[in-house]
Amino acid sequence: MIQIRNVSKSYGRKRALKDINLSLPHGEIVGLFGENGAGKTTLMKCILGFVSYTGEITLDSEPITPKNISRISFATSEHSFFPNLTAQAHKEFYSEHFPRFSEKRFRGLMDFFGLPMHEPIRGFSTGQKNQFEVILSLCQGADYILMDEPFVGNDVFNREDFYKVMMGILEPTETVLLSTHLIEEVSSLVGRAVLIRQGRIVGDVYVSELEDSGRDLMSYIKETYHYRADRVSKAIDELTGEE
Amino acid sequence: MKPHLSVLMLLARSTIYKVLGLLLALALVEGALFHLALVSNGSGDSGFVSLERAFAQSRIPIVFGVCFLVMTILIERTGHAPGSKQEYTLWRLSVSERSVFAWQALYNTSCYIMLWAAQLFVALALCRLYLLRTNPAFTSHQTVLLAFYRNNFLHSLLPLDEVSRWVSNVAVIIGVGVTSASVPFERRRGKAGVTAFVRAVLVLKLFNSGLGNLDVDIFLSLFGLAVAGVAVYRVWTQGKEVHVKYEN
Repeated sequence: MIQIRNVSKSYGRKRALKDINLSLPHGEIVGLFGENGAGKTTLMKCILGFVSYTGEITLDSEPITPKNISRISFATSEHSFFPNLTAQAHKEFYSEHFPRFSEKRFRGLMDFFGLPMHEPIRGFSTGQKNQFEVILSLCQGADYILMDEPFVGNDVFNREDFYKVMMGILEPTETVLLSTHLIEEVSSLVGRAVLIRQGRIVGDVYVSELEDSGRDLMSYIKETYHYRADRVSKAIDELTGEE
Repeated sequence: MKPHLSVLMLLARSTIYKVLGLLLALALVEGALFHLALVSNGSGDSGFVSLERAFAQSRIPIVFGVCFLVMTILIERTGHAPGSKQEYTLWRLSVSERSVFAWQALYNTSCYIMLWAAQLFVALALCRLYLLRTNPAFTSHQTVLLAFYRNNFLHSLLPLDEVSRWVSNVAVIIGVGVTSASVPFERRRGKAGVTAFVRAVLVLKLFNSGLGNLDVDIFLSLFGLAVAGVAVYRVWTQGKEVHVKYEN
């Protein structure tokens, strides 16, 4: 389990995360939702140790160090692959550094998405690069897979395919923390939703609980964010009304 | 050891074909310029041009400087380049970032040695071409030897018995190799490294120094080793283990 206790992070004077407490047990698919600048990416970077923070983050009660960092993988829309290398070269490189790298899963996903094995990644389209980024994160044998807006630039059919494949291949022990704006698309995929706003966790709920209470994820998010449904119609009235 | 070698392979796979292509381009461009210099001076007795002058007219040091600059830009892109945050992977590897730096320093230094060797090979080939094309009455078995003493660039490429120049060549190559490895390391932390242009000027200065210029040799040797030392110190103090947090 990844345990996040009292984690805060500031960039200069701006507080990006404020006293975050969160636990990520095995085998969950967790959606991390929030507007731009809410702190989703910063939270992931804190978990990975890419930025400094105050508080404590542990993985199965141990601090996250080079010894256990391979248990967490990361897919980001910024991409983290080596553009001049081919997919084949990535496979060989990752196999050396991530002992549980799954070649079978890698080949299967590369075949499924029809990505070339022997072309440098820099020649891929944006959508293909995103696919490759996610494939790498899914094949490292990590117990925790952090995905930060991984499908930016992919078309809806492509994303749909990926969700289905991901659901099909994930082992019961694998945990996914998925940050995205595409709430409706992933609402059937995630089992739990964590809402973050201005650096604070403002909601944490299991989708099954929502269903039991007759609500859906989107309405819960709107409710938590105090979304005013009449805001748009009022604005249009004001813009088009007579003076 | 295999993870370490895989880092070296990553560096080589990322740039080796471009580096080799660059060396080929260097040979072709310098060959063409040298040929033009010979042709522009005519042929036969009236068109005699000394070997040193032919080299000076063909602007070979400038081509070498441009190749140095391009090679530096190429090899510095591995580890930090637009379009991908490679640091997110490098910080999660089973080898430390310091090790990645050490392998990159070794690889980059090897690339610069290859550039030096390729330039020397091309220069010797052009000397051979010169001897074939020039009236034997104007050349002797010492023509090439003398050119390598008289021409600053040729002499710096192959300093013969001038030990201080060999030392400064090696020191500067180590200096540029190590600093070019520290540039992506610094950029991963949002800092700028020593610019490639400054290093190109340093190398051109070295390769433009005349025979017996001991002061310049000593200065460049110390400077090359000093910049390498500073780069290693900065990596050593900043490049802690993967999980250590970096302020972005």
